[in-house]
Amino acid sequence: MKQFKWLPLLLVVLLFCSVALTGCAGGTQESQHVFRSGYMREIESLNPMVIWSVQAYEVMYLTYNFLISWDEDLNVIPELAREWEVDEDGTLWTFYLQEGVKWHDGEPFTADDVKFTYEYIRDNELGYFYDYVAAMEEIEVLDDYTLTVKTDEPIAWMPQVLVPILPAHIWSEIDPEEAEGDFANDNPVGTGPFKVVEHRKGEYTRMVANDDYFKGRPALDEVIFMIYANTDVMVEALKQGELEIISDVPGAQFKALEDAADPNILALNADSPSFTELAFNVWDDPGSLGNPHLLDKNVRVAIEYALDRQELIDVALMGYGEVASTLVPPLFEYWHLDLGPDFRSYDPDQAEAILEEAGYSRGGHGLRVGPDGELMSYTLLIRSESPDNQKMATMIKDMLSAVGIGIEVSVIDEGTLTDRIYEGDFDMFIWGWYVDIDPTSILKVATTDEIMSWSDCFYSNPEYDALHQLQQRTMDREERRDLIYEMQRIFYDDAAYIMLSYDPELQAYRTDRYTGWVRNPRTGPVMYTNVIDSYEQLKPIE
Amino acid sequence: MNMRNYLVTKFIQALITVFIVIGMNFFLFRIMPGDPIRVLIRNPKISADSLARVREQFGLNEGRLVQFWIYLRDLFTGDFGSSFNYRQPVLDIIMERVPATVLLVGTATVLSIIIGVLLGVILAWKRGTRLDVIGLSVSLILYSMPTFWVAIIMVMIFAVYWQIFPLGGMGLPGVFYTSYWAELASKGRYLFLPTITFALILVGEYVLIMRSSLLEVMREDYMLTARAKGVSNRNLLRRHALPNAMLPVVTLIAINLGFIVGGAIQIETVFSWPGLGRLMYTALTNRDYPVLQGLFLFVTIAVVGANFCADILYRYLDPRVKS
Repeated sequence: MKQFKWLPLLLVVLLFCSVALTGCAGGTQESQHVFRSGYMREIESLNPMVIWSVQAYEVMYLTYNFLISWDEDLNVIPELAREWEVDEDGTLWTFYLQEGVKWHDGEPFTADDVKFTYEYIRDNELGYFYDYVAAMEEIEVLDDYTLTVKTDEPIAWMPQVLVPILPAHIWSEIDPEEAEGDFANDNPVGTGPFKVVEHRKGEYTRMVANDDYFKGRPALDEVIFMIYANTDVMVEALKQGELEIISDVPGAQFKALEDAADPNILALNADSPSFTELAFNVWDDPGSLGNPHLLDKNVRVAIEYALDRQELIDVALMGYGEVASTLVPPLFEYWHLDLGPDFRSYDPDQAEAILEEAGYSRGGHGLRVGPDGELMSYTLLIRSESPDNQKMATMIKDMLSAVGIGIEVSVIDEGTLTDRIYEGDFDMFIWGWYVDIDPTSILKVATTDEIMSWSDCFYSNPEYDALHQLQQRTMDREERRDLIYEMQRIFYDDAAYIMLSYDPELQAYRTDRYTGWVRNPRTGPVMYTNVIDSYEQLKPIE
Repeated sequence: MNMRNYLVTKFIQALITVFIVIGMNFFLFRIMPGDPIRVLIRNPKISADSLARVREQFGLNEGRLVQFWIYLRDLFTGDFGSSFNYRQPVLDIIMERVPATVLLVGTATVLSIIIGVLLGVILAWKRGTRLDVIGLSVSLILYSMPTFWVAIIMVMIFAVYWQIFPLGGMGLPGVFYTSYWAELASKGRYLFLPTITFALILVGEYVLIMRSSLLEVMREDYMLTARAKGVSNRNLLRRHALPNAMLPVVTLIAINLGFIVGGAIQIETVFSWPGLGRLMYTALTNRDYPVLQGLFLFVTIAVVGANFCADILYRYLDPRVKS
């Protein structure tokens, strides 16, 4: 048995190694003020023309600047443009730019960069940005720090052009096809407060402070986005102080953080610009494969009365969410319409009364039969990507069966659902939207022109369309708000969507190392918002 | 059959296997529902021109058979296609992740083979004793524990409760080290927990196989003969029993390589280890077919290659294969 003598030896060596490893950990140093942010999703690219995830956008916001930004009340404030004015027609915009701004590579930033960026995106119809520059007819550089933009008609959301300004000296050499294809942009050059120095896919993205930032060097020396593959581990990393903030925290873990009440961790249940809706196929077209019952507004309204939304939120979303009503979430306080008594809250008796009156009476096995003699039985499509929506669907099925409507829940992946929507092959589905700061884009989704494009319920109402055209051209803010209120009212009234919940943004951050967290807007989150105030203003606690 | 013919035959068999898998992979992804263009372009507002441009760029404008032919042709030139999600060449993306996985899986496999074989031998030698009973039950328990669960438990005990090892990742970015040794020690700390977890998962099987294989060999007549000749216990084990008992273990190691990838997905997910397993999981959730296809091919080649090596090794370990 001599030969086994070295087995204990091996074990001793292993043990020694592990002890040594734990002991040696002291030999490390932090490079000054490092700020680590944890999240669950990989950054797909650093190229602004192909990105789509919130995480990739956050890196873009830190790398590049826009012409304008927003304060905590969502008023437009200067960024790269220090001032602007518009002529009486509302079509000629003059921007006066900040002087002395430098790109990360030391080159000076000028009006030519702005002109180049807008034209590059407009002429090549690039990415999501195209919508913002499509209406720019002519861009003229008056001098290094002044330029004018002429639009084909007055545009109410100007100057909120959500386009990052790119350096002309770099992007002019990039073939537009590459820009939308496999251009990696691994060393992005912008004007922002931080620049990417290391981008390891699936691991982390490291950014360091821009010493020459035109608003002043940030107090944070490094911002590092770390990817976790497991939420529990990410939450633990926050508790152990490895991370400063975690975002997109699932309800269960958020609840645990709230209950733990760690004095150094703040669990922030913030409003977000997103909502979840139940959409009906209201496409009045021979090509539609949806159930014709759903073209009847009475049916849709009855379904809304039959749904207990608070119950859905309490059970499926662990109480994190708010019962939703109109297309514009209350985060955008200025534009959100409060329906008051017009809101159709849970009332199953009312639902049954409406259905009875409209000729949908109970037949055999508990289901109602429509005037056309067909059973009220519909398919509800759910995304396999969302366990929350799946929970909701089961509850909705029960709530609707109580009023005599049969629901068959079918779980499919997002890609398949998208295909089914574009084929008009659905009765209803649950999905959500992420709303821009200006309400135009979400309101536009429901216009007739967007059928087979952004629209997913194929709603069509000439009155709504006309109001949309009008609000886009109304430069007076209050006048425009009345139009937008009216649009929200009309769309709500027609019930092509049943707005289920305004979804919160659940974040948790440490309060013991840095101070100066900014929520934007006031009821919104501290990070992953449209502005980067927190990153600019966080200061270490000495 | 001489060595050369044997090698050539085995090599051709391996190539055919790889080719069949390539074909299956390709068509498997093509019959899945959903147009991949929706993954590529999440913007329904895109113009018809851009759409056609992207389709062409990713070779989606051709018929399936033509696409397959182009895919094969590109494979021979080392072009695995371009990722839908990262918009980068698949081969680069995979190669970036290989070192992390090789480090983790390699260390864990070597560790589990050494410990597994040793324990297996000890248990077989001491069969029927209390040590054997305990060792056998522990091995069975380890063998049947779900990978994901073990990993979570390990994190809970060592990284949350005792906090002697880090929670995950390969290191903490933004930290610099005072010395080379401090850096090495830190890297080792990050590697330790996932490796030990993985080794624990793998070791049970090796113990069980080694033990039963050795027991079987020890029952053979030639063992009795050797003992009768007065061969010492040590030589009996080393010269007569072990070489024969190792055969099933070699097969197991080669076959296991495929399953190890499955384990790597789970271990890497729990420990946020940036390797191939994580890449596969992310690619799956993003419907990044080119990356998945590349990964499947990569794993296929690894498994077929390992089996090819095992076949050759067999000829040295087992003279019977030669005839």
